[in-house]
Amino acid sequence: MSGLVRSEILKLRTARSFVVITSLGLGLTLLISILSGLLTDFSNPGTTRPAIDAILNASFVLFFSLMLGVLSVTTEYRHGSIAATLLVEPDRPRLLTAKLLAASAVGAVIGLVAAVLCLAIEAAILPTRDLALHADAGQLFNLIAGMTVAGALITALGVGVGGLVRRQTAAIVGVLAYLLLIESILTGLVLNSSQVRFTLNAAIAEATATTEAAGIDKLDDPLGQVAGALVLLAWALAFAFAGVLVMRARDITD
Amino acid sequence: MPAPIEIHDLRKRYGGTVAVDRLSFEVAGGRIVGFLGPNGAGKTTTLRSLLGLISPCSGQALIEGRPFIEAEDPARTVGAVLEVGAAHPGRSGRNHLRTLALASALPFTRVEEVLETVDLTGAAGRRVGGYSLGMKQRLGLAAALLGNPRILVLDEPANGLDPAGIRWLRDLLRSLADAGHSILISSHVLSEVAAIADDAVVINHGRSVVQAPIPELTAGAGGAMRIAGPDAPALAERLRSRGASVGPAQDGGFVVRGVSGEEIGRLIAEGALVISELSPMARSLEDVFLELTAGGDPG
Repeated sequence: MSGLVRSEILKLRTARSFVVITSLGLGLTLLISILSGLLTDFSNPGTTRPAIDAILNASFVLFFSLMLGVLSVTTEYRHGSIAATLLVEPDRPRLLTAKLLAASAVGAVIGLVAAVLCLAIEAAILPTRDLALHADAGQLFNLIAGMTVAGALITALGVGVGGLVRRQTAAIVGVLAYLLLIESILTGLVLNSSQVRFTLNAAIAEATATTEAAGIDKLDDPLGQVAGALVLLAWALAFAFAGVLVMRARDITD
Repeated sequence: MPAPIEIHDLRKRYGGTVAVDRLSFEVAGGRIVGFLGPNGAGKTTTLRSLLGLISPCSGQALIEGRPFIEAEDPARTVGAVLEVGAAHPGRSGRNHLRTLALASALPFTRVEEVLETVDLTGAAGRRVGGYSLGMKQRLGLAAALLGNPRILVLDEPANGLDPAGIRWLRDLLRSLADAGHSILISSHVLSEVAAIADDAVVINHGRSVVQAPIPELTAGAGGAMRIAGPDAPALAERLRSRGASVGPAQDGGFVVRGVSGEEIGRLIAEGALVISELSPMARSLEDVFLELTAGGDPG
């Protein structure tokens, strides 16, 4: 399995789309972080809100990690390389597991880098406004660890989506539309406050410990960081399982 | 010991269309088998079923006695070329092969070896998207050869290759078969198949039409013999009188049916006839193919 995972990591590293998406994601995240550090009005500077805001900014990169996860599967279908891949690893659940592990590792690194950089930027900018992060080492560890775990899980979720929907555009548009639009509609019209805690947006906010800044409707009683991460893990596993089932049954005809 | 490749009663349906219909054939060890059929005959579906890429509705497609997805060491069991340029266009040829090598627990030195074998070392660092058709085909062959597999499954492997490349491919496949590798090759170029393959499997409308050694398919022409020479007309008369069917050949001489070469030789000796040619008539593989698959285009 380790060779298969290394193979998948090499695929990610040597695809231009990986470089473009990662650079774009981290670049935009850092830009948002800089603007936030310069412009956000922290009316109560004694709280840990600046550090949480930094992580909320960092969590923007998770959209790009999600796309990377999707692309790690759909690109193989798009370019026909899935057949070559299945010739060296015909066991599809095993292949998707390797993709999940590789993408999760990459997603974790991206989450970690984004969290550290955004906190560093805020820590550098805030003193120029006579403000500070006001977070101790334990809080900073939780925030960075949360982003790292969320990065891994959201990228794994993307892999599951890619296994489920082979068409690249449909998969990316579909998952982003769900995250940015459909879930908000569901939250507003259908779900009650206890159900909202299990939505994907809430799980991301809870796992990254940013619920107080994320502004998710009806999220009055969040589950907490660890439980939120477990909900996110459940989302990732559900999509991975569905992706494996669909991928196993799918004929590779082109 | 099971045959390297066995197709048993294979059936695949797409909606209302039957792509493969109770197809059965085998590929023996150390043989090169040409897999022929008109467009839409079910060749690609069969090859993909064999490689676990398509699930058949019924029947079995086995590699060394079991489905390919159960192979313990896939890269060392089967190498395949299915589609030209089936690699990420933004990745270099070398990195494409390295991803496959890593997944197969093969060293990167093996990647350099196969790049050398297919004469692609100079272009290995370039992106696949910039490769010519022939280079992409060579890359596909390099991927197929990576694990030095016991079995090769090749769908149109000569596509895009220049004449020198085709000759190289022919020599390579022959040397692999002589070393005991089994090769199933589907090709549009029937002359190439005739030159390279030991046996042919011809399918039409998803069904097996014939499986036989190529010399057996092309020889005989129904037992016809060709005779030519100064006394050929006299010999033709004697043969007619003995009940043989004799007709004019397209390029002079006569075509004789219903009598063996030995009997003809005896008549020549008895009559002290001067005959410059007495030979069994062979058909081209193309003739055989068109006859067997009447109504379809060669594919």
